[in-house]
Amino acid sequence: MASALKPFFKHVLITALALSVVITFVPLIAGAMTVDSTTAKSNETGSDNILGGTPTRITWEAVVGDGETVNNVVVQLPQGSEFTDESTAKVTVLEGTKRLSPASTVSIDKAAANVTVDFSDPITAGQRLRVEMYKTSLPNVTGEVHLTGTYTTTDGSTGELGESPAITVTAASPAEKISNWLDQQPAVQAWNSVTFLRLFFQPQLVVSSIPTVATGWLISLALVLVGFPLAIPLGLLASFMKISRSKVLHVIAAIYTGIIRGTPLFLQIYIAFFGLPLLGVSINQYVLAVFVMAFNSGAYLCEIFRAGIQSIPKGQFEASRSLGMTGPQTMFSVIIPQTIRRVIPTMTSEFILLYKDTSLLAAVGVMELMLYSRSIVSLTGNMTPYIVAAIFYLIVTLPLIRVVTVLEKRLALADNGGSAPKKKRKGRRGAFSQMKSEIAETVDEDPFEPDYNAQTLHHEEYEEKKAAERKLAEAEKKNGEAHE
Amino acid sequence: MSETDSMVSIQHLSKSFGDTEVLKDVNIEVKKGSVVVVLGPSGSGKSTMLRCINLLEKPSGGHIYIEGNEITDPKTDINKLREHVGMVFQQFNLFPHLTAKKNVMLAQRKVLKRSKEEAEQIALKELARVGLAERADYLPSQLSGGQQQRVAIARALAMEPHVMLFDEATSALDPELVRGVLDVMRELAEEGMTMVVVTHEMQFAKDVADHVIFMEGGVVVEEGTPDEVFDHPQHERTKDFLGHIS
Repeated sequence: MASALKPFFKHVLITALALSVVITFVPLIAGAMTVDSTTAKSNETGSDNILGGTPTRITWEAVVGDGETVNNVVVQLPQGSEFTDESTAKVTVLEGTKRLSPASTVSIDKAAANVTVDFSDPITAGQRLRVEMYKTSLPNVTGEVHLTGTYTTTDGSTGELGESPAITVTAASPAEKISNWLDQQPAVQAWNSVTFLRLFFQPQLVVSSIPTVATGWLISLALVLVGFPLAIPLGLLASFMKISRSKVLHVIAAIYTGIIRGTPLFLQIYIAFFGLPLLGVSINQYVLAVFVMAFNSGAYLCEIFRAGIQSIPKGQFEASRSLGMTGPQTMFSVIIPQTIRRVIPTMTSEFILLYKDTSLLAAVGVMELMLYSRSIVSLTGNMTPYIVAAIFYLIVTLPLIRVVTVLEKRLALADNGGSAPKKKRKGRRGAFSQMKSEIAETVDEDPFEPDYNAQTLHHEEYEEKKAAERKLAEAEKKNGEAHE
Repeated sequence: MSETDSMVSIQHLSKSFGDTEVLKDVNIEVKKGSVVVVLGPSGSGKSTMLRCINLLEKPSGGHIYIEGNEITDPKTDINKLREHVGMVFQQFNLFPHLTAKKNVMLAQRKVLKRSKEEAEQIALKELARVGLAERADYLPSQLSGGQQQRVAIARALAMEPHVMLFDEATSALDPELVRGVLDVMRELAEEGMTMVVVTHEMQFAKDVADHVIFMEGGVVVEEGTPDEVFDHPQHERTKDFLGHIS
């Protein structure tokens, strides 16, 4: 991951800057013109890197040596550097802190990649020459580059300018290259002339922020892909405890789900992330994030599983038991398989929620999708990275929402005594139209598909049965553990 | 009646749900190989009585013996007992996630520990017996109500029960699907299966029953041979009920 390397480059850059500052103030005794500083302006969104192959501003400084008067200087860029039509160069001469303005002409030679400065008033010993080259690209290779050059004195002698201090260049990624290319496109420039479009959907920023935002997206996805599977056994265990006959287990599960579901995840994150360090417990923040998410989701899954198990008709338990199956056999062979089918849509919804909720971790500094995009927003003052973040959330959630809808429709059909979802798909029809035709097929097969719901019972009898069932439920509650 | 002749013996059975007394001092004898049909209006306690026989309801008082073993004794292994008591429900209660064949195989595998091959072979045999060999690989939702109920009967039969309990097995079916189920039950009776049948099918009761019991308000009001109960009912309530039904 490129971003992991960024701090490293930052260090290198700071060191280089510090060195150049030190060198600048070291008194010069040399008898020849000396290059003592070269820097380039960072040109990567959201970092301090100097990208190769991307326009930047290079500042080059040299001091005229003792006894010299210089009237011509050629600054040579390293091989692979580029001047474009838009490139310009600016010359400044300083004596101490005083700015001088000797008559001079500057010319850029694109083919040779150098800048020539001619002085009609020569500059003299101790004076500092600064050349700033705008919209100039350094070679697109990661590594250090140096500027070289020559100078001519008034007495006609020519000297070599030694290697300048190094500039550390990072090779531009494909995204940055595309972004640079987009910069040049008239259509993009027209698009960006609309304030709203520029601020919310700037094409260059879309492209250049994708690698960073994608990094955050992978982290968010990893958090939920590790956290959710941990939440499933936790939720299952809690749901068993909740429907268990043991009062103690029930109460423990009820407290857990009550507290977790009754308080905001945001608060739970704060307590975990600020509370544990207070206790002297230090855990990797990503690990802690996974546990907090799993612990939170487990409580919701508990309720989903409990409702799922309890939605299985009582007749299923009775049929299993009347065949001589034990409680655990009934649970694992009959009840759980049916429960899974029923809870998958709700579980998927819970997964979607949890995935979106990883954004709350930004509040405690866990670098995830939200925080990565925010880092670019705060550097650029542009909303585009947030829009990119939205897209990264949506590419996961929208397909899953679609899956939930289809599963729910299938489930509703199956529950209504429609055809079971085991038939092979025919052609590329939509799931819904397929299901409609499945019903039709079933009807063709058996014109007497009975509706064994209330309608087939005599109304009176149905009412009495309901009353008896209610009585039964009451009695079972009272008796607590019955005939098992 | 000698001890060895009795399949189910219900003595002084009572059952209450909270304060509601559903069964009061019920005494019923079911001889091996006999078909006992229990009639009565809704809420008469006949279903509860039936469910007490395999302990889906826990009796509040009294004793129930199956083949001489007291099942109301707390030391009885209920699961062992239930292996020999087949039950067919009004709502079929097939396992919706399993095909007809697997519905019939599941308890054989889990409870009787039969091999997969043996369980499958028996499942196909029992499905053929109820006329559904062709539907072995269908899911319950792909079968009609009558077919589902026949699969449920096959599922119970595969456990080789000594007695079969039918709890309004045809009440949830459309009229045109009732006959197929009744035919299967009739055949079972002819093969000598001991059966306790709670039903509203009077004709079936007249044709098949060895013994008819009329229950109301949680007590046995009248019992006897079909001739006695249908043609010469002694009690006003029985007369009312039979008149009302037919």
